[in-house]
Amino acid sequence: MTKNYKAEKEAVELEEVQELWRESARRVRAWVSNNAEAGVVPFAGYDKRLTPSTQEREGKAT
Amino acid sequence: MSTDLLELTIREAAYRVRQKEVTFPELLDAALARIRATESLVAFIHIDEDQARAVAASWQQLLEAGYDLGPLQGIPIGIKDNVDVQGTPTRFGSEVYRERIPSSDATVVRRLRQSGAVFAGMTNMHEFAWGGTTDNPHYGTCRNPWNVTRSPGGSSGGTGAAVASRSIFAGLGTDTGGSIRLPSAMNGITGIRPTWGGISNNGVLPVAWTMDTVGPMAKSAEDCLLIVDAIAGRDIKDPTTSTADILGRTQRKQTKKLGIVTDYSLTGNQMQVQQGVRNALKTFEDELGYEVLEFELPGIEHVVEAQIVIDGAEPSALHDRELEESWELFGEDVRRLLTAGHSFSAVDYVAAQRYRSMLSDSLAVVLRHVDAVITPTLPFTAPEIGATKVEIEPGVWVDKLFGNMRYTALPSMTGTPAVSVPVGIADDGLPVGVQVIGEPGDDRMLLKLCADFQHFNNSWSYLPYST
Repeated sequence: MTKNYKAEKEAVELEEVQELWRESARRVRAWVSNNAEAGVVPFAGYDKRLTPSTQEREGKAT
Repeated sequence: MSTDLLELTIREAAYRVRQKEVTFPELLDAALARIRATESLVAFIHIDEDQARAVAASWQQLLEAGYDLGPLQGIPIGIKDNVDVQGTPTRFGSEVYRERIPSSDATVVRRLRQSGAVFAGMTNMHEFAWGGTTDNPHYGTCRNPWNVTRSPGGSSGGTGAAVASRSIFAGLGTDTGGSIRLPSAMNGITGIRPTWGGISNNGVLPVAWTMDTVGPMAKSAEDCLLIVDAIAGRDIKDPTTSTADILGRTQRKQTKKLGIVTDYSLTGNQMQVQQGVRNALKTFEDELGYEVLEFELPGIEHVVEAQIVIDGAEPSALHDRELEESWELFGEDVRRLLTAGHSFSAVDYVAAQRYRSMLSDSLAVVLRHVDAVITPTLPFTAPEIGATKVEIEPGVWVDKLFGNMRYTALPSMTGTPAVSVPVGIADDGLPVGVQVIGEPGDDRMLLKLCADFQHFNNSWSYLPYST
């Protein structure tokens, strides 16, 4: 799709955004890798019941 | 007389009509006159005066015949250009859909019609709702009524500017990453991003399916509550509302405590914004008897970065074919964002969604101990139109898109409801907004909490200088 970027200014601005966004994604991946247990599933809506590990931290089951 | 009428709350206006002090057509005439007087703001991009007048006259006749539908009957309201109104150009702020006229109403529009609302016009927005300004290259740049060199925010900037300039009593916005709350804060009005799944998105153009919501923007929290009552609830046409009337289910015990988040709520923002938040917290403590507690949210420093992955990838998937086929019809900034959204890998996306689960878990723990979490709505007051970076302290500049989302990302990523409530005017003469975040289903409780606050802080009633 970047083939459509004929104007140099637009292409440069796109590259800057892509670089910022890729770096953002890299940092999120790193944080999740360092902090998530295997059982943490992708988001499927807010859940007040909490995951088992959070319940354990809270010291109370729900 | 007309400006005075438009400074009334919805409930006050409804009362005056029933006291026969004013009629629905007179309310509408006042609104239309105000829209014309402030058209340089470019808050509206389509108005059908004849149709609106016919509807207002009909509601007046019905009221006089004894059909009283309640406070929204006959009230002029604006609809953001990405919410379908049958027979009315609804173009998503885009050139691609310039000729589009929907054949049916969005569910929220149908419900507002059933409550008797009068549609004054379609409000300006950021193209395809993908952006935090309303610098629309196709229909005109919307301006902030507090200072016309400043942005009204976005993407629901037209509704924000229209409510703030007293052209309408209220309006609908949509909020994915902050598009109701940002223009509410920047224009000094009240707006709620509702619980995800609490209000139907049927007939509303998506931005990012897993975060999109539609909600009201109005002068006061009480006015927002009237509209939430009218539009909330299950809709068979939107499966995300399948948990029934989620906004009405929560009756949890009030703790009389509020939370702020360590190294987040009171950091990374302009001093004038921080002072506004501190003043608001003091009002909650001194006038309303709340206790303020501090909590940690692990990983909060990555909330914007995670949101950009999801908020970047999902609209790129939605507009993939259109962008290929109609490249030249897109504005420069939106096609850049839509192209950049292709940068992410599937692994990036899944990691961001797992981050959401973890953040939601942490927030749920905090919200067991407090009624709401408080942050600024955004770190700065309304930026100059066209700015790409904003100075938050001397010599420290932040990217405007990332800065916009610093606080709004927390509810967007967790599906929680959040109200932006005006708390005062900053040193630069622009409004400051505070974000009040609750658990899913807390929407009505949050609005009532903000209405209580607004009894002691009347910033919501301030009229912009330039209007």
